Order: sequence, then structure tokens, then C-alpha cells
Amino acid sequence: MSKHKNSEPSPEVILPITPMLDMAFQLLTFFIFTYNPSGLEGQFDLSLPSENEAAAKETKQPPPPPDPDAPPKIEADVTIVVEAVTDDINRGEIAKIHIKQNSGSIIVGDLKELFENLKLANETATEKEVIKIQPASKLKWSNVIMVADTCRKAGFKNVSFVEPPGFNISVVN
Amino acid sequence: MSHGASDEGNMEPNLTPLLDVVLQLLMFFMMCVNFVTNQVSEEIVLPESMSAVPMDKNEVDVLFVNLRPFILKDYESKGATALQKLTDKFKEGDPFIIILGEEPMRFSEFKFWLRNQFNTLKRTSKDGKVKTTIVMRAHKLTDYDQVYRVLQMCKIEGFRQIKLRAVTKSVAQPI
Repeated sequence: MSKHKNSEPSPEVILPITPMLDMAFQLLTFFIFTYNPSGLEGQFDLSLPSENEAAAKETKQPPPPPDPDAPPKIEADVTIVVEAVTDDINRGEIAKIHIKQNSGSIIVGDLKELFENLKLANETATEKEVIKIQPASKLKWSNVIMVADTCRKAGFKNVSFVEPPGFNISVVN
Repeated sequence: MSHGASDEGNMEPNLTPLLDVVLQLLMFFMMCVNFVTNQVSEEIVLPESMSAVPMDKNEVDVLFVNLRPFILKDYESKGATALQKLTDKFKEGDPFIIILGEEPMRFSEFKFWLRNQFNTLKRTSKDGKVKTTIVMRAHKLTDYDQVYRVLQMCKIEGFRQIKLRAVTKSVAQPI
């Protein structure tokens, strides 16, 4: 028997690669079209007060002693108040920007003007990195980010957001 | 010469390296797609920012919160039943909170969900402290007071670390 088996030529095994390749290409095309590069997303850090402080605010108790782990609170010399357009066509766009400092307040109309004034303000400010932004309630988020970008570009690296004018804290609780 | 002549009748392209490359590309895209769908919602169009820093890939203890205004025309392609369900719950311009794996939420529902999440995280934490970071993805058309409200909710519930997402824009572009 074994002699007979050895004399026969071994059968040629053909692996059908073509359908597999077709399938692979189809899947590849699908994933290329649906690929959404998340690598373009970036982020900003935002630190919030300690749990004790937040809880005290909720129950309207006096604030607790400062958290030793929390970063020191530094008051800003410059505050930016951004007003929003309220008409139906341009609702949420920037109407006016106020730059408030200890020395007084300036009103600017656009981001370019804001940048130039902030550069000057940065030279005289005691806290050169800290700035507060108080956007109007109905200002679009993209405009808030644009104002924050302008502040960072002018040298204020630590940007914090303040509650909008007329914001009712009780709606959160 | 005779060796070359005998090969002429059996000329087949070598598909193995091609197949290797194709399968590697396929694997890459499959992994990327899985990664993206786990974290973000396509319904959110992020604002552009020059100063946003790249994401920290090592940060795994995060909760994603997607916020946008409800705009009916963006959801018209959904089925009639799904659309009816949404319009029963949300009016045009209402804040619309999307957490993947959950139904779209209003502020009141989100506050309840956030409290549950915080309590669960606190219970399961080894030292009783919650170190989870909230990653806030707000749509560029969202009103500031809605974003601020979500931030305040996170703060009141006890979350201390919040990151705001934006699409990174080239620094070379003018203001």
C-alpha cells in the first residue's frame, strides 16, 4: 500500500486568493471612506474647585478652608466682557467686546482690535498670564473659543470663563 | 537561456506581499474606526481653535459629554418613529446632551445621570476619590449659557477635572 501511495504524485492544492483579495479590497474601501481622523481634535484643561467647595455652594454654607492640593487662586487684572448680537439673522455673533482693567474699560469691535489692545494690556498687567472672559448667555460657543484663542495669542495663557450676566445658578441645582 | 524560456509559460504575479499590505491597512482602519465610535459623536461639530493641545492618549479614565442644540433639520433623515420620539422630547434649539450608549438627555436627566456616575465611581474607587476627567465636546453653535450650565453641573456633582474639546487649527492662520 505504502509503495503505491509513494508512487502517486501529490495533489496540487490551489488556494483561491482572488475572492479573498476582492473582499479585502471592498472592506478596505469601506473603512477608508468611513475613516474619521480623531487625531485633529485637541483640548483645553479646565480646573474646577474641590468637592467640598462645590458642596458648600450647593447647600449655601460658608466656603470651607482651601484645599491644599488645589492650585493657588490668582485674581486676574484683565476681564473681557463679550456682548452678543440678538437679532435673528446674526444671533450669537460678537457685537461688542469690553476690555476691563483696573485703569478703566475699553470697547473694541472685533478680534483684531482685541488682540492689539490685549498685547498692550499684557505689558502693564501684574498677572501677565491670567485673564477672565465673561461671554453673553447667547454667544455661540465657537465665538467664545475664538475670543479665548485671541487672549492666549496675546500672552494670557491662563484663560478662565466666568458665568454669563444674569445667569441663574438655581437652574443648575 | 533555456531556463528563461521554460518560465515564460508560467508567469503569475506574486500576490502575497500585496495581500499582506492590504490586510495590514484593513486592520489599521478597523482598529481606528472602533476607537472613534467608542468616544465621539458625529453629531457634534467642534469649534476650531489655534491653542488646543493634542489629546493625551494615556488618559483612559474619562467620561465623554456631547452637547449641542436640537436642530430638527439635522435629524430629518432618521426614521419617522425616531424623529417623533425626539420632537416629543425636544423643541427647536433645546439643549441636547448625547452620551454614547444612552438616549439623548435634557439637563434634568443629565444631572441625574451625572450624579449616578459620580456615586458609582466613588464607590468603586480604591481611595474613595473620583479622578475621572469629563471631556466636554460642545457643538460650535451651542449657546455659552448651556455650556456653562453643564460645567456647573459637573462642578456641583464633584468632578474636578474637565477638558474642553476643539478642532486644532493651524497657527499660521490669521485671527
